[in-house]
Amino acid sequence: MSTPVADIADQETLSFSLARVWVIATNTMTEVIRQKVLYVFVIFTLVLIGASSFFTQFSFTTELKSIIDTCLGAIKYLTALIAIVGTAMLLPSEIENRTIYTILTKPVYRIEFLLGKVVGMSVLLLIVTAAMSLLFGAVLFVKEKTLIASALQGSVGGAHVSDQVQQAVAAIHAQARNPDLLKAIALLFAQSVILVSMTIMVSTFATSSLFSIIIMLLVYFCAPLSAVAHEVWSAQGSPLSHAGLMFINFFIPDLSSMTLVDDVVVGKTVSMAFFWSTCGYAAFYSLVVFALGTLIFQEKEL
Amino acid sequence: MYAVETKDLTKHFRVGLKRKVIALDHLNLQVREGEVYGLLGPNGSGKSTTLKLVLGLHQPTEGEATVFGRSSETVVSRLHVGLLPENPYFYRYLNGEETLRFYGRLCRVTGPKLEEKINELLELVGLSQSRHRRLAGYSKGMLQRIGLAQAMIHDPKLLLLDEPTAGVDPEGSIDIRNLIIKLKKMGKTVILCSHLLSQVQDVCDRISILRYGKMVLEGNVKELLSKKDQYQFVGSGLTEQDKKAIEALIASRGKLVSASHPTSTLEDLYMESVGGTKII
Repeated sequence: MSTPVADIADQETLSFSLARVWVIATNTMTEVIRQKVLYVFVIFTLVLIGASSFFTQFSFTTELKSIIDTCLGAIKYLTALIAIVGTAMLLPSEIENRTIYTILTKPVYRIEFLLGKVVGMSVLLLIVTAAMSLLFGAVLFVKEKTLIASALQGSVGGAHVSDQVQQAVAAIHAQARNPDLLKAIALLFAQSVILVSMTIMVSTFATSSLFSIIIMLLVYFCAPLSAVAHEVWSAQGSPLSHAGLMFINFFIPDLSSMTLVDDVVVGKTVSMAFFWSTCGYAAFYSLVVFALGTLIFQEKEL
Repeated sequence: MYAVETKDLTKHFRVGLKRKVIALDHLNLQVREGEVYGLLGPNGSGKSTTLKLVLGLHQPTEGEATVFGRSSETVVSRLHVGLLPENPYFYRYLNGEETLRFYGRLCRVTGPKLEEKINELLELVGLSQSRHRRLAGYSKGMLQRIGLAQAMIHDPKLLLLDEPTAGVDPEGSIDIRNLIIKLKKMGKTVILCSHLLSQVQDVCDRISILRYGKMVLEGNVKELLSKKDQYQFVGSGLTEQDKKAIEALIASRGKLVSASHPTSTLEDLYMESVGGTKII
């Protein structure tokens, strides 16, 4: 017991520390990984294998469209599931195992603890989304090569056939290398961050993980209503409908702009302005619900 | 300045809409720097509530608590505090060394200093051999020891130990007691909550007893326990005649309360049998 840790003991003030946030974040990632979250990769791989072999009887455009549709859908629902279930388990397990006492009785601000949880989950989701996208990209790449090879195989003949093949190859390229796919995936990650922030906010007052999961699943599946309510009530223009609109928009985030799977599949273009404004909305919304969660957690008696 | 001071510290909990429970009622406590202070009382007497208020996990309904002069509601008051909670669990997926590294990094102890501290603490609590084993495989006693080590990772001046020997075997219990004595020699302040009264008697300088959230007794352990109107001699090599003569002498001058062979403690006998740690 001879080693002095004087720099700690002599401190008179304590400022917010990103280093402490990162320590909690990395531990959160380990914790969630231990909850067998990575099994989603098994599910995703199965979806990929199924999609790439099941749609082969269709025409090449329909086949690619179906693969993209299925894989983006899988990324959308699997990341949402991890975001909600993984985050909902974090605070209750810390309280149940009393690990929260050992952390918050150290020189650690409650906001650092909560932010560490959100950052940890978000980074993990970023890695999971990136890894699933890489798998998806690899399948698309292989499929593109296979389809082009089979198109070229059938083109042994005159110049007229060759034009058709060229058009087919161009169509395959356009579908498989659509840059909007990346935008759609990035927006799915933005959706995950919103879900993480919101779940952590709910779990600051929830009595159990199950309660948080149920509330968040309701929010997730009611989210499309937010956009519908926006359209209907903003057309009415009465103060009451505006108040109702604000309430719904706050508690049920508009996730429709983040789930562009259908639009991208049918070849609609996602403009950069729309992409950045949606990212901005996700960042702002996450920040607001996180701030609310911090206020609740600050007053929580443990 | 006191290590811990509470002034009229009161905590009410609301049960339902109207009913409230008084967990702590105007507690005035002063724990001096460098002493081992025992907080005793039956279950529900307010011991854990007091610790939680001192650690800022609860907010007082009335009154205040300070740690080295700083309000317990500020995070900066926790710079010098280490806690071993009752029945600690920790992260089961980390091993002993990783656990200490995690808590050390939280307290901004990093680099070679942290590694040195980890080695030192694992040695101190006797877990050097199990440093790479996951906490999921630790026994209750080992969890208490790693709990003590994490509480000391940032070299705090004050340690709060909530039932440090709960569920620990006699040998482990003696080790923890010896460790508390060692901490006192190092100048640390220790607040000990325990139901193991013999241990509290052995290590604490002062104690207070709480009941229904109120302090019912406080003072120096030796003074509280000594019977000032009685005196005890322990001798050896006496014949039966000598004993009778001494008994007669005492009876003629005062009142003979008891005369018997002194007994060893069960703890001493146990340690002798299992060949464990010597009792300090």
